[in-house]
Amino acid sequence: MIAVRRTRRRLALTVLLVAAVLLAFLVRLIDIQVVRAGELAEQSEARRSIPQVLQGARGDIVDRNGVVLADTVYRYDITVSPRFVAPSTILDETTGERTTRSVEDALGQLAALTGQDPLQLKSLIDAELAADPEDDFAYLVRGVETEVYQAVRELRIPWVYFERQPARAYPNGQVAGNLVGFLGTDGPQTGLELSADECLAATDGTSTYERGADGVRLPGTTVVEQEPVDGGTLELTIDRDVQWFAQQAIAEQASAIGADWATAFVVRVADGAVVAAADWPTVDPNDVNGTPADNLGARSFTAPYEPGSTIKALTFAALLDEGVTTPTEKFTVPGRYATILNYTIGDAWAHGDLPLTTAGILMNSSNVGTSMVVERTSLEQRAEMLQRYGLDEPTAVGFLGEEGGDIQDPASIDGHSAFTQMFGQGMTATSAQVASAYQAIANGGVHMPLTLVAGCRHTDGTVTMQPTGEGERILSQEAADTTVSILESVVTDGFLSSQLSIPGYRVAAKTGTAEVAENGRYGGQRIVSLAGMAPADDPQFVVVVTLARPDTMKTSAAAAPTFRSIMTQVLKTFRVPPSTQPAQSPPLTW
Amino acid sequence: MTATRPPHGTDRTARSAGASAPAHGGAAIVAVRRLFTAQSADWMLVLGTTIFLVLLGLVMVLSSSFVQSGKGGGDFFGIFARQGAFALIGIPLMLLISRLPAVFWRRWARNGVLLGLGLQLLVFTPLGNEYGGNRNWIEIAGFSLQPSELLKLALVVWLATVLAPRADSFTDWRSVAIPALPVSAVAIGLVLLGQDLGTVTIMASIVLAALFFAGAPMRHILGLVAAGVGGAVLFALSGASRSDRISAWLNGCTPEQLEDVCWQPMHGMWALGSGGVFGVGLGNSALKWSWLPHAESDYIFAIVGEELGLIGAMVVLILFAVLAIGMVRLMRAHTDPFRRIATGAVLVWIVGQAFVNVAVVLGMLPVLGVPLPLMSAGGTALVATLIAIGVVLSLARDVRPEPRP
Repeated sequence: MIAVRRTRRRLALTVLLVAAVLLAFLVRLIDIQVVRAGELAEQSEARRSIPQVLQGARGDIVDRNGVVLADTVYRYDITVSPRFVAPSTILDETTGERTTRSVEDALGQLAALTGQDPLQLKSLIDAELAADPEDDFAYLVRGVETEVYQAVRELRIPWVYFERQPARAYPNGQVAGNLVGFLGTDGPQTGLELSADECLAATDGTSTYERGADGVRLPGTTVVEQEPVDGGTLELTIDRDVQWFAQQAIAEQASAIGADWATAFVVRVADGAVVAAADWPTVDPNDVNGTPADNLGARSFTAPYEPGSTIKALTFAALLDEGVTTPTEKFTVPGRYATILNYTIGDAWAHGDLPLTTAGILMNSSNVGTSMVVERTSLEQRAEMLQRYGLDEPTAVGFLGEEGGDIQDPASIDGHSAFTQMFGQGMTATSAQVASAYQAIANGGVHMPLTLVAGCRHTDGTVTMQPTGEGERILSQEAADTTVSILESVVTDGFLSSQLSIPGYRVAAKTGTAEVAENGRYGGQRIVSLAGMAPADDPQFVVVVTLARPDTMKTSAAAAPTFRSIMTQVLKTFRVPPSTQPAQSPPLTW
Repeated sequence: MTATRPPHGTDRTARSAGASAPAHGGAAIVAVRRLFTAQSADWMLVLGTTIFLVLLGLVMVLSSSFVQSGKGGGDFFGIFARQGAFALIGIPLMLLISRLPAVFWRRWARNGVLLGLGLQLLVFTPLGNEYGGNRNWIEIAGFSLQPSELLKLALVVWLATVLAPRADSFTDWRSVAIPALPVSAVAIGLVLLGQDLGTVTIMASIVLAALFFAGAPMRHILGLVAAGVGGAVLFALSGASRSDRISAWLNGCTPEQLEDVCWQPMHGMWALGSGGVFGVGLGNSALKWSWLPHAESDYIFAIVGEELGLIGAMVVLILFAVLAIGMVRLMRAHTDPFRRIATGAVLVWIVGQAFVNVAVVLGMLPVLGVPLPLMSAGGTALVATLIAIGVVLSLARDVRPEPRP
């Protein structure tokens, strides 16, 4: 009986022990799985979760028709995890046969696709492992194209990984390369790529995935914390075809006459939109290293120069607007005009007294005649007549590195320059500013802000960076229109008539042959230009062509054929109706 | 309690009922019917719980092993298929053994122990295999075998055989110790030579349990416990890797140890923590992706906790508790000390080992390297455990009043 009781006691003790252990386990489990669960899970996840950057695509840059000037393509970096490099088993899908592929074979297959030396890859991996046996990352090759990436991926080498990198491509190459700019390894370097980066830049997203201790990606563990946002599409006012044509035209002419550089600028009169802004020499954004640093930008915006006589159109339009003179006022224009001390102003050609009207002075581009009219105005008035065109500040485009021109302060200007700057010497302006000023004259005196960007279309459909479209009247309608009809006589009656006329269209234009100051003195170098508009009866486009320091042809005659071919192309491209009325210019002589 | 239990000799009446049925089915049908004759509720409880644990174990072995099995182009189902094959051998074997009469065990006990010791000795021959610092396997014709598992089984039966005749009537310490302790000491010593501290702990518990349920005086048992603990401490401090593990367990892990001795317990803890109350779902464990070593064997409980949560972990613990209760109730019914001692030893072996395993995973014991019985991957262990359960069942089914000495 004692034995039975003892057995019962001991069995009861056993049950009690089991119960006690279970209770202890329960408490411990609750502590681990409920109380400390969050903390433990977090520690564990931190150990195996790998953050990843989800790269958004940078926005495209397109012309006014949606033709892509800059877009994003993908390139792939092929990387290796040196510590996992080992022979691997490959499965033949068709036969189901498993074979072992050595490291050398795998690298040989890879190198054949990437065009590398397998021995070099092997020594790269060995070097990484020698530096750190636990090394987890090294680049095998960077920036391969999609086809190569796909082929390498098909090799299914377990220790080879891929990183997708967005890269920039400029499918139109040099066309508008001066405006578009380019991306360097550290991001946008110049041009619109840099100045409109706010529009184009993508916002990177983030995601994490979890991995096994051997680096295997765990299925179904990718969590996107932040979706990437692609950059917006930058829509330009540029017409790719006109831009190409303009670049081609100035390149031909500049090479032919040995110019140092050349620009061509096309502006639509109605809204101040830049249709083309060509530079020579220019840059191919796909091959930036092949271009000298001086030629990477857009000179038409960034390089002010003394434009010369093309400024006379601005001066006379303002003089007419101010009522200082009338188109038909009669002047007897002598050969020279004395300013101060022993300084005199002469004309491009020698002449005695000429009976010219105000219109005749402008048409013949007489410096002496211009000075005779200008002398009626105060120094402040003269400065204002140029400032109203915005010549002393950058245009509304605000191109990267854009410069304004320079108009001398009336308080400190010397008595000689006070005359010369009214015909474009002793002051500076960029091609963009000259074109913008001509736009105002062509547009009946309403100056529209010059625009290069039509808008930025974001991925959510909103559009920003649109031009305001609000113009400013800076000349009376009559003064502007009269100036246009005087400029038309340059084409109909001037010495370049044959090179400027476009059959079927009335063209108004002004020549410029500026002396270039070097070391404070004017020498033999010239900057020749032609600025004009068409059709003269209802101007729709302004074209300004500038060629700097030509070697063989140092007059505006060098720019005339280029001006005409670009204007012809613009009129054709935009299907501008031909003129119906003949030209009616004011009398030029008396 | 007694009311729900069928009267003793149920199977005898069932057997006679089967035998007296019209003999149109022949002897085979009779045999099959005898095999599956309804047994007592506790008998069914032990059997059912065992089978449930094995099946749950198979599911968890598959879930926790397929990543490692599939590595390097291997078969995803490799470990699972092996474990499944052993379950397919082990469960019928358990059912067959449960048919054997108690006298069979007494007759073969001595030979069994000799066989077990012999196999254990093979570990130290060229057939032996070392794994993870433990020399505890032998390899024959491509099959690896853990003889210590079979030795445990033999020890259980032999201890019950030698202790039963003088159970409840120990005269002095000599009658307690001889011959049980010397033979046990040899068996434990052999395993200890193989450096397998976990198995040694379990074997020592088996010996103590046999003495405990044989009715040996508590002072003798407590003395043996004290001696065992002292020996264990000495042994633990003798090896650098062991003392490292124990100091990490006692004092927390240093940063260097995180990559080393603390790696496994820390990841086990993280697995449990990641599981929370409801778990991450069957198959969804992240820690089994090469993070947690031995996820399919020693640390399978951590994967249960991660995938099935607190609820799943509690279910496993409750299953082992149910197994314990079932065996305790079988023992209460036994008047024969042999049956009581053998059942009690198996109880302590299986449930005790389960508790040690869980305690290790929960960080309540230093890492000992014992698998979770019936669930962890490991062929010999599974079959040996199932045979042990079979022994318990065989002893419980053939209960006849025996003449008391």
